Amino acid sequence: MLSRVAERLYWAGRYLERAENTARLVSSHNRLILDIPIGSEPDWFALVEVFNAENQFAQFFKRPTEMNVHKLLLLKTRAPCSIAFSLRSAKEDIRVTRAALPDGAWEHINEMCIYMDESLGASLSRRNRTIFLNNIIQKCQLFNGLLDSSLTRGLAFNFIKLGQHIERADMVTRILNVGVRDIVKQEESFSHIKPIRWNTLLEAVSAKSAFRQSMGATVDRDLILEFVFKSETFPRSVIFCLYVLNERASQLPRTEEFLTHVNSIIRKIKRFSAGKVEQENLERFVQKVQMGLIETHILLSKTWFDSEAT
Amino acid sequence: MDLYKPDKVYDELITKAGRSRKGGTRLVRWLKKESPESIGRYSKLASLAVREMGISYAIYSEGQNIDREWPFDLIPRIISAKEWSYLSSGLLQRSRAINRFLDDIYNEQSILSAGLIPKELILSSPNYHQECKGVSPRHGIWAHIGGTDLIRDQKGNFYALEDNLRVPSGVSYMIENREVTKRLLPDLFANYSISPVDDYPARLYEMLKSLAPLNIRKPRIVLLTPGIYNSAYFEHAYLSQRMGIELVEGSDLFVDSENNVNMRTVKGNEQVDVIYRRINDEFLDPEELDPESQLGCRGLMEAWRHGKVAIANAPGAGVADDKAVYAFVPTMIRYYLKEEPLIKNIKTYLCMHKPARDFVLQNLERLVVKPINQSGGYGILIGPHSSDSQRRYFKGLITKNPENYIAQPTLSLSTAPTIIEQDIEPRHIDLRPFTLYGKEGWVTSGGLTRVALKKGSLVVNSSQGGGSKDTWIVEETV
Repeated sequence: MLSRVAERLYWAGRYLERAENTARLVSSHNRLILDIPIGSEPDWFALVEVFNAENQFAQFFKRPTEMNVHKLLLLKTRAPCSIAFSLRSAKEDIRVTRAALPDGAWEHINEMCIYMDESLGASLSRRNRTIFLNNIIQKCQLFNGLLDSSLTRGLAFNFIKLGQHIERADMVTRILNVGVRDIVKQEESFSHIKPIRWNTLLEAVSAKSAFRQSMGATVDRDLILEFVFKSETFPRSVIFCLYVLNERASQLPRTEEFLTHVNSIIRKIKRFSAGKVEQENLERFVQKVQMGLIETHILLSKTWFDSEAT
Repeated sequence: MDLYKPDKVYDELITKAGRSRKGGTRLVRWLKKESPESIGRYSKLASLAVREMGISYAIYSEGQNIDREWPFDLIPRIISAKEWSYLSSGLLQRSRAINRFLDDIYNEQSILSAGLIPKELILSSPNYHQECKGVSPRHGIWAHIGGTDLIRDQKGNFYALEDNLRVPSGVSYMIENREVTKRLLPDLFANYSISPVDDYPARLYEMLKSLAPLNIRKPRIVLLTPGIYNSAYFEHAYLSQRMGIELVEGSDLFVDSENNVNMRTVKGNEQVDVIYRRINDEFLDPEELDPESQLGCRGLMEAWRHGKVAIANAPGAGVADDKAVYAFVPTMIRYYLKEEPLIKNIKTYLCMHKPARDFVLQNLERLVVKPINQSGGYGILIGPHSSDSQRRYFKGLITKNPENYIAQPTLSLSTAPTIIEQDIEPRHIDLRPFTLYGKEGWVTSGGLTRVALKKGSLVVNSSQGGGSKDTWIVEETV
């Protein structure tokens, strides 16, 4: 497989995952405000912070209002953190790699972009927003289902899955970092709605029922962190994503350096114990994991995408 | 349905007496049986099938929606197997002669020394590349893939209109058109004995394989595309998929210090032996041709001259496809093959010659004037349909740059029944068969029939309102 094709498949995997995760995060945040009493409304701008997109926001808007935050994350096609940007990029990646994908993959992403273009303008009101975001999540899931059920387990599959799981691990750690910080910070003032906020955090990473099934109905910081970082069976936990990277990369040629690196992050996470980590140290830990993921991406590009003349 | 009666022009299906031509009986019977409503319905089903099968072509634009549906007319165009057998011999003959000519002008130049073709016409052509001199590609073949446009005059005689030797396109639509017809007219299809067309990718693959450098046993073949914004990208993707070869862009390739061409893959670098290129000569190699080119690969020409890689068509082959050189194809056939041309050329006036020029300038309203180095039906004057000011404009162009123009008599292209809304009307058509030449020559069964969908129009190019038809070569008893 051409390096260029592999790289586009990898990015198709990343962008689709990013679109889905962004939609889920925004959607859960929207539900949160319905549940909390007037006066304790959470900060909309936290959504922008999750993406480290403060600069992107400043390029387009002045005031951090609910509308502006949604405009940025949903429909600003020129902002890399928006759903519109992610889906369009995924479409362009799939346009040039459709020969490596199952029949129907191109039609599906094409149809998804048509849906997005048609509904974007009307998707900003609170009511329509939820419908739009849910549809985006469902369409992304449908696409993943299509790949899982009909793409041969070869190079194309491996590169899409690598992209998808690096992105997923990255998003989950970002959401945890900002979410935990905010909740802990505001502990004093909003203690009565704390369980709701923890649940929202789980919802944002699609872990609510999975958490309940394996940990029970009580939610708190340590349990959540343990679960979302270290669950061996939950497919969106950080460690699970890393296992997938390991599993997929071991199918690829010239993979030793990459595997060693992924395993070193896995070990770091296994050593993590939420109860023993203070808030400042948690942020430092999350940053380390994030750095590790960035290095994972760099190493992946170096190994499979930039095979220069030797 | 009632069918029209052709008057002045030759119709492919219906004689002047209103009867069906040989081979067309069943088709005519079917058309007569259908109602206008059902014909309209068939036409809708056909465009639905085209959309579902994702048959598209791109229009150059910066916008988002760059795919256009391929315009297709469901009524097939029929040619008898006997007539086709003669035409395909004629096409192979042309291809043989043109390849001898190309090998000659880049080596001995005997045809120029013999004074049979004006030296300056060839050597000063922008498509003649000094960089190709002295090269001898395998089998002595330069133009491996050709698309010759054939038309029929009012008497029913076929003529060769032009030989496309740079990057001729359309063959994927020939194959897809057949798929759509089979889907929609299975009964009609089953009652005919029609030559298949879907063996083209396999033939193309075999031909490309035969070009590989001698010491390579399992050659790696790639298709080089300019990318998704090219109008024929659909075809590039289609053919590479059907042949099971990589679809590469210039940036995927590099030439190493030993002049080997490599492609970058996830396994590392892999050597490339044959390149089926769908980019024009000038973009092939920024080192020697257009330095601005982002589409090609640095050092490719040098690798090709060293025989490390085969390129189809060979760089420089385009010199035989301009409209002035066209006029000399019969000369080439007589000179190299010692044969008489089987397919006639259209009388061509080279404006570079004064007597011809004077004739052209005085008879503009009866002639078609074409620039020598343009394709796609752009920049031409169709005399009988032109205005005074257009003719004045062309008079100026020809007087200023006579060597850039040729003129030909206006031919009334033949017509074929075509679905227009719920009606069946005659529309002008041409035919582009495709010729392959590697170790051996081969011609498609039929080719791509292109239709000028506008009433009375003679322009069949898809970029200018043209459509297409499936072409049936039929073994006919009735």
